[in-house]
Amino acid sequence: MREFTYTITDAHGIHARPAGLLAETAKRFSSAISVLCGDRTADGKRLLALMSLGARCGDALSFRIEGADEDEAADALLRTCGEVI
Amino acid sequence: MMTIRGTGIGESAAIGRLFWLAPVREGGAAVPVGSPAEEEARFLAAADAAQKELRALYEESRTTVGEEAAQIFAVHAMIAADEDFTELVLARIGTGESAENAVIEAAQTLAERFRAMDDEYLRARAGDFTDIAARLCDQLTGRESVRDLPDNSDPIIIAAHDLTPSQTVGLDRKRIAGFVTAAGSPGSHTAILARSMNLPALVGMGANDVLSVLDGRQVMLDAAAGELIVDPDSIKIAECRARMQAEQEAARVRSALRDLPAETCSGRRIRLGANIGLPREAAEAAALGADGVGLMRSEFLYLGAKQPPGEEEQLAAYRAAAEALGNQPLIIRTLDIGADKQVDYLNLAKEENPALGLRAIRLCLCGDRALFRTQLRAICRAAGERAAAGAAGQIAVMFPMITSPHELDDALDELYAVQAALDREGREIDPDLSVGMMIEIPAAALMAEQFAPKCAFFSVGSNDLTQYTLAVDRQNAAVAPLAAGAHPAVLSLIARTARAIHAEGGWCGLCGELAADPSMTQTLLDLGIDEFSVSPAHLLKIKEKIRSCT
Repeated sequence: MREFTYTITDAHGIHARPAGLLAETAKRFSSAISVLCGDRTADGKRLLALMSLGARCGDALSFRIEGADEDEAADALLRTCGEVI
Repeated sequence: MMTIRGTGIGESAAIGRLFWLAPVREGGAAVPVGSPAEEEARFLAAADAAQKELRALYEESRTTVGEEAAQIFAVHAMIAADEDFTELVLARIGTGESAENAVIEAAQTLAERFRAMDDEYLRARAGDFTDIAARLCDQLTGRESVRDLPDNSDPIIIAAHDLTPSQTVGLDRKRIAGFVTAAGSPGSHTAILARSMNLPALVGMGANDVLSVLDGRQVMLDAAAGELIVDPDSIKIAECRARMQAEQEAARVRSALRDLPAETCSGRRIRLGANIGLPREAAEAAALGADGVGLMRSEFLYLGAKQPPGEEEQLAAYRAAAEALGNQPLIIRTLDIGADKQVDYLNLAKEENPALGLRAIRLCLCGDRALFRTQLRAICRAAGERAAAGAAGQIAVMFPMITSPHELDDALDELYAVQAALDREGREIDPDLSVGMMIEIPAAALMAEQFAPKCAFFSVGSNDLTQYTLAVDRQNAAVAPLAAGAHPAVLSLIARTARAIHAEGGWCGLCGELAADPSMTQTLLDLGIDEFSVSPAHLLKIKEKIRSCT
């Protein structure tokens, strides 16, 4: 299992567009991907679930990735985070 | 006269005929058309078609309304394919609903869920589900419902319950003078569209029925006052026209400013350049009357790529930016990247503290330096080409994150070796290629006298200089206020930097956020800043400020 935490620096938090880009990245991998924000959890491959986290600037997102391609998935997600949120 | 109040978007006013845009559609087929399996197949086909349509709309509207307003279509395409949405629809189809009703109910469920959220932006997304449902229903039934604008040339104020992207995309934008909606918020599609088209709007008027019966009436929309005046009298109309004229005048003054020099009242000519990240932004900067580019961030070539950009690829990017600027200067900053930015092919180790880690020139000068040499070759070749085309000295190189004199010496040795090698290969070189460095580390500012003789210019990176001087992480909201405004210690370092380079006959620029803060302009001029470099959006504002300074 791979885990990492990313703190949102974008002033708008996880808006629809970045949530979509994160979900699109997550869907490229077979690993199970969950995203925790506070006491809420979302399936990283689901756009509406990610948006429903209501994550804002300064919130920490914890990613938990488990599966055959977890290393590649973690790297790709971390890169997407850096680019969009 | 009647006045209806709403939340104003923008400051301007408009007069026109109200045009009621009815909701795209209401209700679906009440009776299931086929078996659940058939309904499911119909839905999946409609969702697929809607997605394709939305992706096409996104591409098309990027050029007409801009990236920000167009993104709504990309988001809708993703929602139409979202598993949560699909599961809700399929569950209802499973209970015997028609595909249409299942889509409408699923959209309502999601809209309610989002309407209950804390975040204003997310609440505003509730309207998106209704629009997606309407689009899917259109796909399912093949019905279209766009009302044509009246057949005359009057300006039109579009009125609707809550405008959806599908409703507005087909409208003739040249005839629209403003928008009013019964529902909606400052984050809704209407507001985004109005801002991107630079038109006034009123949202959240809460008067659906009233708006619909006003169809065809003359109205005056005043976004600053948050009012829609129906059948305005001649005094109101005169007032409004006067305001519209004043706004046009202000816009005219700003565009006239474009062609005026950034010169203070006392006749001191300041260079006002642009900060850009992509070659195409150079054209934008030139169109806004910038004195060239004071900072071209070269990172865009490296981020998001699978492998380091080659010499030819970089050359093409630098050439494009330089050509777009005519003969105006282009200052290219060499790679400023580190462990805080993920670049797979660099295999950077994770760092506890990337701001103080192996980044920028430090990264370029370690290992076999192939990354650095390739970039220097591309920059020098671009400069050589420009020199051959009569623009010698147009391109300048700037090194980031220099801390100690030996790093500058090292970087300069690499640069001169590249120039010499290009010369030997028989390629054009620019003998006037100028070299400067960023001053963003307090050590560099304190030792500026030692760097100055080797540099044609300094450019103060005020964001990092502030962060390093004050020990404030600017990404950390808890301490960021400590770095607000300009700390006397930072100003003292800037003054020292400017003095040192002036003593050697060079010039001092500033390319951080301080440069774009009009309340700091006079102070920075007094400290000896000769060049301001700001993002294109701030160019005219800062030019106006410089022209009022002494």
